[in-house]
Amino acid sequence: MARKIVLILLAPLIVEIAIGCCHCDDAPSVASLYTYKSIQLENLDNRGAEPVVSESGPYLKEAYGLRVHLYRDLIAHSSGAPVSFFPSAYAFSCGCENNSSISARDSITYVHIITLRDFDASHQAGAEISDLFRVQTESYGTQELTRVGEYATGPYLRYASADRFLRDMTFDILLFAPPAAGGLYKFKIQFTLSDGRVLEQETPEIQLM
Amino acid sequence: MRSLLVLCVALLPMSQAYAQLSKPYSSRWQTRIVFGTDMPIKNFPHGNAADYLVGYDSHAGYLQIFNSSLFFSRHWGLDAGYQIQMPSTETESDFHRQLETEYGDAYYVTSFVDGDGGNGHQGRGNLGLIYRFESKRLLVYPKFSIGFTNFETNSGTAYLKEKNANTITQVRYEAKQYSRTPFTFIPSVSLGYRVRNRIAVNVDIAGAYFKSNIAYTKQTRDLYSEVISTEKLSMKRNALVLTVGLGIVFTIYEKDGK
Repeated sequence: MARKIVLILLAPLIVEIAIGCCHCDDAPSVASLYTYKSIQLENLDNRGAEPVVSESGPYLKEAYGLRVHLYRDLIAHSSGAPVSFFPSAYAFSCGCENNSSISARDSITYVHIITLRDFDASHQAGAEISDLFRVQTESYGTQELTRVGEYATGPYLRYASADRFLRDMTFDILLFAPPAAGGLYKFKIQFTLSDGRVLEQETPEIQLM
Repeated sequence: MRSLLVLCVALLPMSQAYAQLSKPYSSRWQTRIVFGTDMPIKNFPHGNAADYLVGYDSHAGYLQIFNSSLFFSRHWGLDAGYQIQMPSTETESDFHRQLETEYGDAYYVTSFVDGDGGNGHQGRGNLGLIYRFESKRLLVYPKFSIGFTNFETNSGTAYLKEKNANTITQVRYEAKQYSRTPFTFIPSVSLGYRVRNRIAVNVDIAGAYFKSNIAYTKQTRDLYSEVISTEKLSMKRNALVLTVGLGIVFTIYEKDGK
């Protein structure tokens, strides 16, 4: 009789353990959802070992760059935690795969860097000069220079978008084909998003020497 | 090293059973444990960054984990052994230091060596003839062996960020083979003093000479223009070291079947 009473008392706990262990979600759950909100530009001086933000010029044209801050808004969040009085930490693993994914609602489809002053003989004011810039990337000690459009629309930002703790993103764009002559220059960067919006920002007029 | 001395002390009382020393030339099969160090007489030159990727250290300490002699006559026998060596070089930091010397005036240098950073394996094996002179206490064993020295040839990469410019150049030193195992000539003499019936302490003095052809490819790539230039580095290297070691000789089997 006593055994039956103990068994009846333990029955909910056993059922809870079974549910807690072996309930695997087949469909991926979206834990967070972001949208791109705005961008901010800073001028970089890359004369040294690492690029540093410099508010005032003049800038060495061979060592000039832009630091891009991409700000995002969190527009949805789902913890996905089931309601249970049995903590999953004490449950045995049933080998469920982690199907949760985190993604941005919108993605970057195009990036344009435009000179707002005459840059050189082949790039007049209003011309796109994205190809003269590169983003420096590093992975396990290996460094590469990536085209700006490829970086912004490729896996680099997509993987960064999947980081739930990384709300805003920052990367450096460096000028690798400087103009022959020094002078006053001004640039604009445009990010075209998958929902049709365009985020853009201009640099102040800067002195390249 | 300390553990080997402790082992010596521990083994001496165990041989109390052998009250009398064996007769000279009675041993058939001996084995020994030796530890010691290499000392360079002729070292590899170090002229460029690739030289520092070659994981051979002529100052390496060693432990002879296996050495055995089988005597087939009164004086002559066969001797074989293998020693693991403990190189003390810091390949990654030495490589970086050399790159700083070569490029540091004009560039900021970052670098890495593939794998575990180049602090890898080094060893030497030998097989040869042994000759013996023995008295009641003293053992003198000249030997001549041919063997091999094994060491790693690592690959490494440097990134040169130009000072006052955005330009970045990748310099890759790629070894043709991951490791080298050149033939090695090893004349040596082992001097022993019998302390118990089947146990002697000994000093090993050896020379080791080898010649190795080491090939590297140096690839220089401008990361923006993707312009690549390639240079072959062929390095003929000779090494001659003197090795000195201390150890214990155990007689496993004697002539009369004991």
